[in-house]
Formats: sequence, C-alpha cells, structure tokens
Amino acid sequence: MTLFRYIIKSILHYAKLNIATVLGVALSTAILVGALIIGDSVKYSLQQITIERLGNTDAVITAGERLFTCQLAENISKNSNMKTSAVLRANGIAIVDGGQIRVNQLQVWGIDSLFASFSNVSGQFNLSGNEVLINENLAFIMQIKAGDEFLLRVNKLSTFPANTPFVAAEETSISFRVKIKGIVGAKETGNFNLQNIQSAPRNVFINAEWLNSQLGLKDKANAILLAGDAENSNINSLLKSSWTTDDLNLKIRENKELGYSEIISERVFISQETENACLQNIPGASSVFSYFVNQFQLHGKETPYSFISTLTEGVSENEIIINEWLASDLNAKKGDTILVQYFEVGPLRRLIERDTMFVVTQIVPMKGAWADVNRMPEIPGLSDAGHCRDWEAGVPVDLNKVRETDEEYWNLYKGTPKAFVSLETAQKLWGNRFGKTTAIRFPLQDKDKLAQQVASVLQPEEMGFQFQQVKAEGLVAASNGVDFGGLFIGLSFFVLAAAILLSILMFKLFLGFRREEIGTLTVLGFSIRQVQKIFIAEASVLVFAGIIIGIPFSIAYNKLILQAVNSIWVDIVRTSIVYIHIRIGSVILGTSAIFVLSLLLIFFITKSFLKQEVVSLQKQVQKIQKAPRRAGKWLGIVLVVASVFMVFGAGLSKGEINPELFFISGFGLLPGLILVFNYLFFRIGQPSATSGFSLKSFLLKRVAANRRQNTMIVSFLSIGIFLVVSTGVNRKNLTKDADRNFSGTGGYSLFAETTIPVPEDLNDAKVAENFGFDANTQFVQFRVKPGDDASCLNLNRIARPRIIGFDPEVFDQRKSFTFLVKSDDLNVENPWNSLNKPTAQGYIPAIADQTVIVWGLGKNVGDTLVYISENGEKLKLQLIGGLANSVFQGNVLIAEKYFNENYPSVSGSNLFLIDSKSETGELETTIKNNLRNYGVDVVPAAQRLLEFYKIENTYLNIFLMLGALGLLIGTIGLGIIIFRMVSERSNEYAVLLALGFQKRTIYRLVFTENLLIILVALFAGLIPSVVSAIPSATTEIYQNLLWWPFIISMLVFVSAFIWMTLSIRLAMRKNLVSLLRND
Amino acid sequence: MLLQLTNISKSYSGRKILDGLNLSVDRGESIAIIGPSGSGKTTLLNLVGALDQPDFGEIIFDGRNISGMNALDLSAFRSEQIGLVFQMHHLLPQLSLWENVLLPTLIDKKFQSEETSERAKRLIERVGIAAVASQKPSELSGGECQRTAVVRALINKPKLILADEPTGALDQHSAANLADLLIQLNKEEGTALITVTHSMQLAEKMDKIYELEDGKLVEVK
Repeated sequence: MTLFRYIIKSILHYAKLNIATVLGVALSTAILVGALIIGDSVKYSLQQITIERLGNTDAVITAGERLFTCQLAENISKNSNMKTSAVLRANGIAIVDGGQIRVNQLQVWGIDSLFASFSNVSGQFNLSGNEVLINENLAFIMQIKAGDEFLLRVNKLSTFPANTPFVAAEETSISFRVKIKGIVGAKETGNFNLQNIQSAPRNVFINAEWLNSQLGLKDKANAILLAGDAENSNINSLLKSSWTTDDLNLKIRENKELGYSEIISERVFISQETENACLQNIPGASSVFSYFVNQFQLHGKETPYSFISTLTEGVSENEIIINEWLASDLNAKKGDTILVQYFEVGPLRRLIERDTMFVVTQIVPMKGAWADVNRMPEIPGLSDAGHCRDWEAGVPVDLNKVRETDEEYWNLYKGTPKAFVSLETAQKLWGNRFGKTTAIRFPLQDKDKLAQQVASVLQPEEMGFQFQQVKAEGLVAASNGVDFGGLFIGLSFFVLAAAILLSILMFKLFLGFRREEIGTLTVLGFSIRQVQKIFIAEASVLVFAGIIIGIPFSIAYNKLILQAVNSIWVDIVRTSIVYIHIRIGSVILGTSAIFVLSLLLIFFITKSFLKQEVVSLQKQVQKIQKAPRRAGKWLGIVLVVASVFMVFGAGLSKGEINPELFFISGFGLLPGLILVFNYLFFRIGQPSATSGFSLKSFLLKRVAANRRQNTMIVSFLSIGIFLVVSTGVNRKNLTKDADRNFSGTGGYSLFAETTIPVPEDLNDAKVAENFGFDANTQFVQFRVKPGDDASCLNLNRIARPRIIGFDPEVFDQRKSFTFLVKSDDLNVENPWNSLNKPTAQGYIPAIADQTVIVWGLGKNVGDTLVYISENGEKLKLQLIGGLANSVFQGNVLIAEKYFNENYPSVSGSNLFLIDSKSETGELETTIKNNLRNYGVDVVPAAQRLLEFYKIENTYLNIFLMLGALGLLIGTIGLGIIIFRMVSERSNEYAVLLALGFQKRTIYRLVFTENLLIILVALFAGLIPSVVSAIPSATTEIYQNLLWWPFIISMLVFVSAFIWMTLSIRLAMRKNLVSLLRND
Repeated sequence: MLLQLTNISKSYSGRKILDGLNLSVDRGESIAIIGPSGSGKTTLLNLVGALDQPDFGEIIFDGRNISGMNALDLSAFRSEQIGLVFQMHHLLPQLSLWENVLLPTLIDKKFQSEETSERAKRLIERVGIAAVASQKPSELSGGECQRTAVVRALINKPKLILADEPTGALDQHSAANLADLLIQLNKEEGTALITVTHSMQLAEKMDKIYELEDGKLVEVK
C-alpha cells in the first residue's frame, strides 16, 4: 500500500463524481487556451495577410506626388542585388453598367512585366493594352467576371502638383474602358497593398505603359518595389547613383548665344531644397524667378498678363527695369512708379489679388539677355500656347483685356518678361509652397556633366524620396496589433468564470462526499497538512486529466469563434480570412495558468474545508444559522427605494431618459433586492403563534432554514444575469445628440470622402455654383497625407496614422466636438485655434480621437508622433488634445498651414464635413451626383460615427452571447449546489419518510422549495437588468435589445430548471430508509 | 502509569460536560466508561485521543503532557500512541480491507516495513478476516468491517486503544465476538484499552468500570 495507490484507488472509486470536476477543468482550459489560440490565429492571420498583400515586396521607394522614370527602378536593380519593379499607382473609380454601379476608392496599379516576380504566383501579370486584372474583393463588389468590361476613371497624374500656380485646372481625372483579363485572389497577390490594414483593398492591375499613355505620360512611375536585402543597402547612395535629373523632374537647357546653361523644372517651380543645393554646391549658379502678373499700370494705361523676371544685381527693392516694349506701351520713363497687380495663390486654388508699386530705374532694349524667352517658365497651357486666346492658365484670364498689341508681342517674343525686379523682392512677393525659383542658371557648360553634377548634389529625402521597409514594418504592425487573445479572455469572462466556479463547486462537493474519510484520516493520525497533500495530489491528477481533455475542446472553441469572426462577427476583424494557428507556447501558457489556478483554488478550498469541517467533525458540533443583521434589511430597503426614486424622479426628469441614472438605479436595485430577499427568507421561517403548521409553512421554514445557501443562489444567479445583461445591453445612443455641435459629428450633417482630390475651394461662391451647391452649403475641406488608418477598423498597430490638414478656426466658431483630454498647449477658450501655434516645445500641434491616441497608437496627450516631411525633414507632431469619439477616428488633425508647409505637393481635398440648411437626403444626393467624377462616398456624419460603434456593438453582442453561455454553464453549478444541499439533508427526508410522508410529497416539497429560490433569483436579476437596459432599448436603433434580458432570463430558467430537476432526482435516488438505520 | 488525567474540565456552549475529572490508566489495563447519553463519554474519549483540548486540567500520556502540543505533534502522537475504534467502522470504501489496515502506515515511512506487513497479516488472520482481506468494505458484513477497524487501530503498535461504542452497530453475536476480540488483543498486545459503551456485557469484560456522573468519573468496578 502506497500513497500513490491510495490516490489512484480513490480517483477510480469516485470516478463519477470526478468526471464533473474534470469536465469543469476541461471547460476552463477550452475557454482560456481557446481564447489564446484566437489571439494567435488573428495575429498569425494578420501576418499572413501582410505577406500575401505584399508578395515578394520587401521595401518600397516612393516620392510623394512626384513622378520619376521607370528607368530609375532598373538602375537601382543594376546597382544593387535587389529585384525592382516600377509601378504607377493611381486612385480609381469603377463604373459598371452605364453608371448603375460605381465603386470608389480603387487602387489602380500600373505594372510592368517585372511585377510578376513580386507576386506569389507569376504569369498572370503580363498585361497589354486595356487588359486589367482585378482582385476578388472588387470582383465581388462589382459583381463582374473575367471578360467583362467596365469604365475606369483615374486621377490625372502629372509631373507637376495639381495645385501648381498658373497651371491650368484641366480635368482632374480621366476615364477609359478596360477589359477584365482575370480575377486574382489574395494568395496571388491580388490584395497588393502598401498600407498596413487587414481588410482587402479594391485593386485593379493595368499595364503601366498603357496607363502612362492614357495619362499623357511616358515611362513614369511613382513607386519602386524592392525585393531582396534592402535592409542592409544604403538606399540614399543607391538612389543617388541611380537617378538622373529626369527622375527629379529637372531639365537642362542652354543658350549658347547668351552663354548660360540652366535647369528648369517640369513642376514649374524649383523646390527650395534644389535651389539651395545648387547655389551652395555648383559654382556660378544663380536663381531666376519669373512670375505671371495680371497687369502693369501707369497713368491709367494697362498692360495685361505678362511675365516679370528677376535680376540678382543692378536693381534693388521697389525698383523695376522694364523693356522698351512695355515702356512704350505704358508710356513710361525712368522714375515713373508702376503698379504691378498679381495673384497670390493659396491652397485649394484660392486667389488673392495683390499689387505692389515699383519705380522704373532703367528701360532696356529688346535684345540680348533682356529678350531672353527662356526666362518664361514652362507652364502647360500657357507657355506652349500659340496665341494669347489659347491660354489656359490656372488663374482667371480676361481675354477681353488682351489687345492686338499683346498678341503681336506674344507672336514675336512669347512670354519674354517685360520687366525685371530684384530676386529678393520677387521671392518675397511671389514665393510659394512649391518654390521661389523657376530656373537656376550656370555659366555655359556641357549638358550631361551639369546634369550629373546637379543629380549628385541633391539628397533623396530632400526630393521627397522615402524608403519604407513595408514587409518588416507590416509584420511588426501585425504582431503588435489588437490582442484578440486578451480580448476574448475578457469576452469569455463569464464562461471562464462559470467553468472555474463549476470546478470549485464540484471539488467542494467532492470534499463534502469525503468528509467522513477526512475525519477518519485525521483520527488515524494524519496531520491536516498530510490530508491536504493527499487531496491536492488527487485533485492534480483530475486537473491534469481535465487539461488534457480541454486542449482539443479549446481547438473546437477556437474554430467555433473563428467561424463566427469570419461570418457574423466580421465587423470586428474586417476580413474574412482568419486562419487557425496554434502556437505551442500559448497552449503551454494557457494550460499552465489553468493548472496553477486550479491548484491554488484547490489548495485554498481544501485548507478552508479542512479547517472548518474537521474541527466540527471531530467535535461533532452542528452549525447554527444566525439571523441576518437588521442593518442589512434597512440597507436593502433604502437601496430599493432610492433606486426607484432615481428612475422615476431623476432618471425620467423632463421626459428625457438619463442613461447614467438608469444604470445606477439598476446597480443599486440589485443588492437592494438581494438584501430584502435575504431578510424575507429569515422572516418567513419565524414562528407564528396564530397560524397553524401546514405543508406550506413547513416549506417556508425549510427555505428559512437554508437562508444563507438560498441567498447565495439568489445572489449568484441575479448578479450573473445583471452583469451580463447590463454590460451587454448598455449601448451608447449616438443618434441622440448627433446634430449638436459638441457631438462627434461636430454638428455637421454629412461626411464625404473622395477617391480623387477636389482641387477647388467648395465654399467659393463661383466654384459652388459650378458644382451645383447652394450658398447655404458649408464645407470643411481636409487635405490628406496618405497614411495608415489608425481607427478601430484596423487591427494592426499603427505608428503613423493618416495626417489631415484643415483650417481649424471654423470649429472654434461653432464650438464643434468635445475634448476629453487637454494639454497645456490647448487653449481653453479656442481649443482648435491652438493648432495654429507651435507647442511650448516647438513642435507642430496635433489633435486626434482619444481612443485612437490610447488604443490605436498606445500614446497619451502630450506625446509626439514622428513623420517625415516631403523634403525629408523629421516632422514632430505633438498631441495637444484628445477628442471624444468623433468622425475623425483613425486620423491625426493638424492646421492647414503646417500641412502645406510640409506636404506642399499634396493637392486638393479628399475629406469633407458638410453642413447645410437644405434637407440632408437631398444634399447627399446632390453631392453624390455632382462630385461623382471624384469618386465621392457621402454618408450622414452620424452614420459614420455609427460605423465605428459597429465594432463596439459587435463586441457587446459577443459578450452577451458568451455571457449567456456562461450563465447556462453556471446553472450546472446551481444544480451541484442543489444536489449538495439535498444530499446533506437526506437524513431529514428519511425521517419524513419514516413519519409516513410519501416520497412523491417529499420530492414535491424539495422541488417547490428550489423552484421558489430560482424564481426569486430571476426576479432579482431581471428587474435591475431591465431598468439598466431601458435607456438603450428605448432608442430607435437598439429597440430589439430589450428582448435580451427576457431571453437570457428564460434560458437561465429553463437550464436551471433542468439541472435542478436532475440534481434533486439524483440526490433522492438513494434508499432513504437505510439512512435511518445508523441514527 | 500510561495515562494520567488530572482535574479535567470541558464545556460546550456554556454547558459544563466534564468538571474536574481525574483518571489513571496503567499499561495493558482495560477500562470501560459507562454513563447516560450526553454525560460526556465521547468528549472524554476525544480529549484522551488528542482530538480535542480540555478547558482546564492536564493530560499526561507516558510521561508527556499532551495538553500543550501543537496540531502537528498531536497528529504524530495519535498515529504513534493511540488506536481509535468507533461505533461505525469508518473504513475507506475505495480501499480493500488489507489496504484499510495499512492506511495508518502511510503517515510516515517509518511505519512502512516488512515487519508491519507481517504484523498486519498476523492480525488479520488473528481476527479471522484473512479470507476476505482483498475485498472492499461494501462487500463485507458490519462485524468484519469492525474487526478490520480494530486491526487498523492496532497496526502501528499503539500503547492505548480508544473504543467509542465499538459494538454499538453490531448484532448481538457479532458484538460479543468483537468484545472478546478486543479483550484478547488487549492482553496479547499489552495495549491499554479504554472503551466507552452502553453495553454492560462489554463493560463487564474490562478490568475496571467507571461511570461518568456530573462530569466526574466514579469507579463502579
């Protein structure tokens, strides 16, 4: 005989009893390990999605809005050991069936044959002409198949930024018909995407050469995909050794007669960085800045629409040198003061007409350097026009003002500047975010050598080239994404708690059954510690068995949850591709946690049991139930009365429902009812001198005799019901104040997002009229620097969310939105205006949703986010305020002025908040129609907020469902308690039987007693639950939620009824008469 | 002298059960304690068996005062010095008779020897249950189970057997057999025996009989 043998024999002897303990542990293991596997599965799936969406792409080189040559990719490949592929990415809109279906937010990838090597499956990506491949997601949305055709509209990419001053506002998009060659799946890199997000994009792959030709471009690209050891390559030096001036949109010209070489930009203005690099590093370099002015005016005479250029010497501030033609036209002479009128071009093509006076210091002949036509910048639509009447300038030109003489000048001299001012003055007056120079001149030299020299002095980051290790960063973002393991442990809390409770109850029952054995061991001389060790050793075997059985259940639980996540709960993951992934580490962690937790619980339960039971066993002392404290009764009554008063008095004051007070009422009502019932259980058992003794009073006395256990059952069930229902049903009523300015909509009625940026200011009366918007419609336009979505829709951990720039003043005027957290940099009176001033630390102020700051970014207000500006500088954005949930979730807001300074080439607006006195539905239709070529998606702002809450609501639905499941499992525990209580009172039933009671009568007595307790428990749980659910359930969108308390209560009742019946039958199955023999 | 109880008092819920009780037991001596229900017989047995502590007084066992021992020492004391037999046999249902007998040897390795096994075999044969030793308690009669409980009480060679109504749950024939067995083993093993009983038949077989009256022992034989 050994201890081991004793333990094994005990386990086998009590096998039936042990099965329930083992199953309880198995269930706990299944829930915990299952939740951890869900976490692993989601993490693994995010990583897989990253790998699938990037194919073989390890890194990418982009240059903001700049287009470079496809040759650059080839050169990089030649100069390194990496594979490269140049792509031309555009935003697109798909139009099917003559506009009946319009799908916005398309990613159009102009690819060449090299892209195939970046795909997981090669071969399909050889496209020609108007053939396209689309991904499965787009095919599903468009309900289209291979061989079908559709109209594709893409943004008009060009070498110069769309808002470049004086460049004609030609079509912002072009459309062409394409034919679907095939549909590519996720595994075939069909979901190719450079953004860190798990949801499938809407992709169109098209031949890059053909796309170039449709856009009027040749061999242009805006991204280079890299595959290989990009991590260890010096990308900067690689780029410098690979690029040419063509990639920098610079052209070399020369004028042998005048003896100079010069660089000009395809983007009209030469960036400040290029200018500085050339002036500092190339001998003899000097800047030329030519500007298109509206008119020269003198003595009532006007010379319209002319170019004015600069000199670096010979003219000082407020002085002007004019050519003979202008002098003759204005009848001007030295010493005259000429008024020069011109447009200052702001963001969104906002034009401000200004003027400046200059004193004529010299009149120069129309020859030599004074008649240098090269000084006119190459401005598409203007410089290349044959006649003045053909001008297509990006500023309003009144052709009626153009005279015959002006046409003659144009015919003879084109845009040769008619006047010259100092470079310093010109740059001060006309310098803009695109640059302060239109040409840089050098002494005449070899074109190729100059090109090489220019290319070598420029720095890639200053030219806006950015290198991003998309795969490594994507995998990190995926690994650090939303912790679904933790999330599902939380959501499964009630199931887990119920399973653990079940194990505890079973173990207590197990100990209860072996009270006599414990007593025997003790009197035989086993110390309490030895008894404890024996039982813990025995329980360890049970726990171990439970864990082993639980592991396959955990996989089943995981499968079940993932099936739901891929279908009915898809809102929380926004992808239907969540794969099962089992990590041994998680299984070990989960099972170890259950093992340790179980043993700890067993240790304490055994210790407490031995302490209480052994002493009473040895001393043979009966436990006596004490009367409840009077304070408890009064506290209960006070809580019930206060809760009722709160609901009818304050909660419903002025006919409005106050959700917080309703919740507090429910929260107070619950303990109140429990305390009141606890007292009533005691009260009904008190002897009454007048009443007789009936079966009914006997029943009540039995309830009273078990007051503590009965109150425990009532508490256990009612608290469970209340917690599950009140947590799951309490939903935020977003529609209630959605029209108020302090709400998350800012008081705006519509939220719009376009695929193609709208270049104009929609608040400009003329522009609004062109678009068909009435004067009452107010737009807040946001400029967007593409980045990752940091909203709750993205499961990846985002480091740099999308930046949006806007004019913040309007929000202060309207007192829009609510700040949850404010830093010292945020002005209390005008918080939004704080975005216009640098923070105390000298950083750019930024605002974001508090939920995004905390959960999406893992930061706090006051922290900084680091970005790279378009010219390669580190940009530090300091979060100065955290907004209450708003339509901006996922974005970081900064002032337009900082946005323009740092991202000058980002043109137009993609996001809009819209307010109007017009009817919202009508306005929505107008916007959809009038901005359709921009690929607009417009929704009521409140609906946009609700989209974010869909996730929260889905989580709450999951919580409700799993909570209900937990409660149902909890009712098994209830069955165990009832079984134990009935078993412990078997002797009492035996006596009743001996006294002549029928077994059926005794059974009915026990059954009624327990049914009464369950009904009381349901009442105590249901009433507070309903009270707390009323505010949500009375809103239009959550009406069906009121069913939940009743459904859950009904389920709990049915389950409890079944388990109670089973328990009573099981406990009373034994031969009660035999129990009397030993008495 | 094996056991000396001096001026022992014990109360439960304000009711004095034992009041200045004195008792001396010699080695190998057998004593019966009789008295009406509620007189404190079991309380007295619990005190001697170190299952409970007196409110006042001193219990000296084999020269050691057990009143001041801690829980661990008391357990060790019980396993080494005392053998307990109850009205109900309290055999563990999952174990065979043989295993039930050896159960006390699991307390400490020092009890687990070839000699103990031999002793168990001998005692089992002695009490006439060798043929059913491999069977479980549920398969045997009350008398057989109670005899097993007696062997279990003797297995660690205790100096004192405490028996609380050992024949109370047995029929007349079995009770007489068990009473004889207890006396014979008392003599053969040299183990002192204190029996609490209502049965004068059993009491008469002991060396001395005490009656518990008003919390004190009165020698009646």
